[in-house]
This record gives sequence, C-alpha cells and structure tokens, in this order.
Amino acid sequence: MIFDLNKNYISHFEGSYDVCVCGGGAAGIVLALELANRGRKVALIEGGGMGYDEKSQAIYAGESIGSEYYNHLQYCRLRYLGGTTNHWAGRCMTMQPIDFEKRDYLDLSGWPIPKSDLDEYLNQTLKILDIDEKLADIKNITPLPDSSFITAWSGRSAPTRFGQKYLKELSDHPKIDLFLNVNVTDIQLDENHRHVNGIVAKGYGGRSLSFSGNNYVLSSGAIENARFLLNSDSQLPNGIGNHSDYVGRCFMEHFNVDLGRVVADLDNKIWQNGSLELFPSETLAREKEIGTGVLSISVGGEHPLHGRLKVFKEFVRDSVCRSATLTDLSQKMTHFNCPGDGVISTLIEQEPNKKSRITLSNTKDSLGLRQVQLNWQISDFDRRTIRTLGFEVAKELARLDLARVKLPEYLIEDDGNYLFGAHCHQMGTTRMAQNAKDGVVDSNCKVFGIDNLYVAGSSVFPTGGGVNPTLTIVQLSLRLAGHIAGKLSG
Amino acid sequence: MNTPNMNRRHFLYTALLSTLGFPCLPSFGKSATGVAMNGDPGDQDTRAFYIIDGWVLTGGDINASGRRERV
Repeated sequence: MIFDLNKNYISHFEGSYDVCVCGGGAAGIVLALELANRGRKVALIEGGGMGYDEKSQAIYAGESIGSEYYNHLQYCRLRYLGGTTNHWAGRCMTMQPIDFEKRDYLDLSGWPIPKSDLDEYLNQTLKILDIDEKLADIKNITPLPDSSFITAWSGRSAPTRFGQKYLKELSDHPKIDLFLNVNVTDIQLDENHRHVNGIVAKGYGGRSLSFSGNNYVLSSGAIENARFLLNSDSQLPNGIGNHSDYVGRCFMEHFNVDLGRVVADLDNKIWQNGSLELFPSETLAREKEIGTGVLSISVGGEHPLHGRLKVFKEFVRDSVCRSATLTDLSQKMTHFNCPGDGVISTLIEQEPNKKSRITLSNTKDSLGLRQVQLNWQISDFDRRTIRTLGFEVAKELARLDLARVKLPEYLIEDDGNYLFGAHCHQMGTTRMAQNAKDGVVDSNCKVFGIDNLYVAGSSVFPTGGGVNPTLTIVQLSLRLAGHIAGKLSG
Repeated sequence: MNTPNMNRRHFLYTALLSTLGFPCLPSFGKSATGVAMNGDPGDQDTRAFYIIDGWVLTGGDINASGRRERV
C-alpha cells in the first residue's frame, strides 16, 4: 500500500513493523522487497515522491568547503523513489579481491568481510539490475602480453530505474507499506542509548508521523545517512553511532580526471569496438603502492569523406590533424575527430581519509534539520595514484604499440594543479569495521552499540575500490536483508 | 632524413606546419616519426620511454631530439 503524505491525510496506519527502511533508493528498495519476500512486515519511508520535485530536492542543499565539488551535493543525487538510480548510467563491475584486503601502504584499508561474502549474491544482483550475467565480472577478455594492466569488461544495466521498475511490486506487496513525501527527522533511543524505540518523520506541510519497528535501516545515501545520524543529537550530543568520531569521516569519491589524449592504431583489432577498459593489475598496484581504478580509452573511427570536394576535404582534415593546435581549435568549433583520436576517461579510487568529511552547518532545511557541510579532501596518495596510472597506461599502450598518449601538462609537471572531477559516487561516511573504535557499523552493517539500527548503501564502504558502486550496494543490501530476516527468525 | 610511414605529401604538410610552429602529432601510419624530424633513427633505447611535447613515446618511435625526457 502507498501512503503519500502530499496527497492523503494519514490519521492512522499500522505503525509497527518488523523493519523500518528509511530511504527508497537502490539499497532501500532491494532491502524492503527482499525482507517482505521473506515474510517480514516492512515500512519503506521515502522523503520524496514519485518524481522530481524542487521542494524535496532542496533538502539536499549543502555547502562545499573543501576541494571543488561543483553542485554535486544538491543535484547529482535525486530525492524521489528510486533515488539516484533515476539518472545513473548503468555501468556495473564487481569489486576485486584487493579491494577487501588490508593494504599496508593504504591507511584504513581492509573490509571486515571477504569478497566471497558478496559473491553469493551476485546472480540475484544481476537479475535485479537487468544485467546479462556473462558480462558481470571483470575478466581479462583480451589478455595483454606480460602486461601490468588487464582488460576489463563492465556489465551494463539498462540502466534500471528502481522507482519505475519496482513501484508496482512495492505497492502491491501485502507486506510492504510505502510512504512517500515522508521525511525521517529523528531517532528515539531508549534510556541506555542501546536500542531504537522509534523514529519520527515529517511531511512538507509539517505533519508528523511516528514509526516503531523491531529494526531500523538507514538507506538514504552516503551523505544523508551521515547527516541523519549527526542530526540525531537530542540524546547523544555528537549524534548516534558517533562513538569513535567516524560518522561523516572518510568521505570518498571516485576521481574523474583527464589523463590526456590518445592516438590509436586502429588497424589493431583490439580497437574494433572503439574502446578499451583497463584495470591496473594487483601487482602494479602493490608495486607502486597506489589505488585502483578503471581507465576507459575511447577512440573514434575514421569517418569517410564524400563529394566532389573529397580530395580537398581530405587535405584539410589531414592538415588539421597534423597539428594539435588546429585540432583543438576545430574540435571547439565543430564535431571533429582525427582518425584514431581518443581520450582516456577515468574512475579512480580515493583513499579513505579522516580529514575528508561531512559535518553539519548551522543552516537548517525546511524540516528543521541542519544542512551538510562537505570538506572533500584529496591526499598525496590520491595524486600519486592518478599520476602513476597516467604514466603507466601511457607507457603500456606505447610498449604494446596499441596507441600513443599525450599526457596533460598538470600530470607531467606534477605542479599540484590537478583538476579533480567526481563521479557522484559518495562513499565511506559510516564505515564498516571490525571494531567499534575503527568505524560506525560492524560486519553486519549494524551500528556499533545499538542492537537494532543498521545502515545500508555505500556509506558503509571502508574503501571505495575502483569500480562503480551500485552493484556492490545491491549485494550488500541482499546480504543485510538475509541477516535481519535471520535475526527475526531466531 | 629518415621518414618511415611518411609519404611525400605528409612530409610536406608536417614540415610546413612545423615551420609555422605547430607541434606535430604522432599518428599511426602517417607521421609516427613526425615528432622529431631532425636526426637519425636507431640511437634510442627501444625499451625506454620518452616524453616529447607531452607524448609518451618509445625509443623506437623517435629520432634524435634534444628535448627528450626519459620516463
């Protein structure tokens, strides 16, 4: 059943559930459906409605005080049913074994769970994401001889829009109540602060609702999960789950940086699809003591020229293509590519860094909650990862005679003028850890010290790996659903 | 001057553009040696890499040039 607080006055509902799931994005929807399919009564509480709405979206406003984060705080996340999957691109990859390991050269690395814990949910995850399972795992499809890189292949989701795809199932499911335009504003703990008694929510018109359940899950994305825990300070001044001062810390992104231009040998069949995705091998990452990532090299084919002026056109194109300056100028004026021209786009791991963090500002949103202040910090380790990957991939493509790379000046000079882009992959703000002193949630995603509060989504990632996070988010949600269902059965 | 992979037309274009001060791009099958046209090939370490005008090249890519930086 759907309760939309913008449309209906809800005077009474069955306000007690096995599980209250706060946030209706990929993590929350998967969790709600999986728990309901296991016979559990679920409240799925979404702050937005069925589509984009400025009033809801404005809740995401915040301030960036660190490295430039553009307008990503407010606009790269979407605040309505389906969450950010409403505009994601659909690329999926599995995290790699090295992502879960404690790496001596990478501070705060190591997941408290092995990759195999997630692998068992892979097939189900692929069905949820509408991915052909043959494309799911990173494979060395075209092995490069003695190479420090492996050729990766990513799965492509449709991309699945979770709100659209699963709305009917959510609304028809007898075990699910879906609440729209209902914003969770407070968590009420017992007197010992070890158990959640209930949560308070508000509509945009100021109406309040109370929910009670056996278990509660925050699944509102890495920024909102931390924000919500920090804002819940009526009983604990530093917020809930903040026993070790980790809530909001270790904010991570995936870097999207310019690694230069490429001229490829289009006669080599490796370019037959026009692109190549490369992963640094584990050996390279360990030897150079850097993070991981995906380097996507896209090259254009040669467009045939026609007409009576064909010879002249070829002359012009060939001439322009002799010169970087003229090529750049032409590309600014029109869609122009020289044969084999390409670019390297990147998705590169950021190290978990305690100084990179979310705190609260004194500005409040329309619900009375303090807005976020993001201090995105980039470390020397991150710069070394980017620079090393740039040089290594350039050398490798040259060695294999596949392409030549012109590195950008900032990388060669290493003058600190890096321009860091991001992928809107926010992670790490409620990190998973083996012990309470090292994180916010345990290996079951339960907040340390509270027996019935959980966190779902990429905020629990201790490290971000070098792959798109959605697939891992869904795997973790399925795993969490299994854990909570088992606990309720026990 | 040794200009493998370069026909007369490409050589003329490249020479003209170089004279005008435009940097030349390596381009497979066309002017892979266009980055350095003044010298003899074969005196580079083909296993090493060099940066010329930002391009990361193998020793085998280039002719003698005073601007190389081994990486």
